[in-house]
Amino acid sequence: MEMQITRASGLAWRTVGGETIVIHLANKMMYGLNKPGGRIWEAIGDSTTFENLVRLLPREAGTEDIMRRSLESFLAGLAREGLIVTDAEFQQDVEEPVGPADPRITWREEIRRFAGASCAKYPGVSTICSTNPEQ
Amino acid sequence: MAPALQSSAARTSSTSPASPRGFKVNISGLILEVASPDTDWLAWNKNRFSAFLSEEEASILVTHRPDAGEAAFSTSPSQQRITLKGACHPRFLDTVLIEVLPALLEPSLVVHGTLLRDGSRAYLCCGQSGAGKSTLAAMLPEHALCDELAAIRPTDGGFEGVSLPYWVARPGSAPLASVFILEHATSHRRTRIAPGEAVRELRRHICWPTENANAMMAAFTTLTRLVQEVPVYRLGFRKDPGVWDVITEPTQ
Repeated sequence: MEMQITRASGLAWRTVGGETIVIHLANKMMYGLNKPGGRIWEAIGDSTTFENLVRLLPREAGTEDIMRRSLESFLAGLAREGLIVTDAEFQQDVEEPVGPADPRITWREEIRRFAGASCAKYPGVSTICSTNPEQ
Repeated sequence: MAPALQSSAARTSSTSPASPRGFKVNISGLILEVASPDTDWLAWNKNRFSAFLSEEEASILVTHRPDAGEAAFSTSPSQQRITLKGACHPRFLDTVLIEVLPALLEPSLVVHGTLLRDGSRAYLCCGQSGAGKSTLAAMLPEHALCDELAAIRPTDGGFEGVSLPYWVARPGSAPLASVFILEHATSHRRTRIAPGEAVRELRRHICWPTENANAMMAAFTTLTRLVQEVPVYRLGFRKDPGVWDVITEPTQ
């Protein structure tokens, strides 16, 4: 049976300067994917299979297994962050990919509501401001 | 010469327009009517927002109910009514507005930054508390529109920077020429940053409407469009008004 990979719901993404930026609305997280990661992300579409993604990998003699493991590592990361849904169990113990052709999540950042907007000038006025972690 | 920046809280309200129910305030084109049976509470806030008062028709009604239990606020599903409950400090209105404005103003972004203007162009200078926003505004009073929060409004031809009444502010707007991420430095310097990095940096300075998925999508779309259409720089500066020449240098 083929391993199905489906994009999670509640996401938005844009490609900006060669980088694909994904926002997870429910988890309030933002992610950057490098160019190879962005290509895989686009290829997932609404849903695809692992083997379909494998077919997109560069075909150089002797690298197929490495590229396949690199793809597994990337997909494991997407699944861990809740960006894809899959019934596949990807290898979690592969080393972090480092080559420029490896798909990667290059950064992940939390989205905070107030972004440090300062109520600190008026302490004690409300609990809303006092919960701001960046003050 | 443009009038120097003034504290909106320091102005008198004796000649300001008023509504019979309270007062109306224009925040980036959004007209809010503020009403309260507590005349002291109302007068304090009318004075606080005196630079941004309006006589236009309001689309949002903000009602203060001092006898309704502990301090809290609620918004109607349509977001056209905001209710402040309890005998809250007058500044509670500010706190509530900071909470609700990111969703009310979508697809505009509400950004933690100082907005500067030189006639036909606006410059947004972002930074966390302590990064130098207020310092920059105080050094350049003839150019400063606000020193804490500004709105970035998408337009057909680009983006407009619009001042918000936080904290030392006067009304004003202009097409947005550049965005800067502020850093303290021993000399003035600016360095352009790539769009992807700009998203990552600016993310930290945006007030996200996290409780409203549609507004979050709109803010994300505006941000990703902004970094592709408007140059974003890191700006290192020392306490010297000469930084204005660096800010207004033509785009690299």
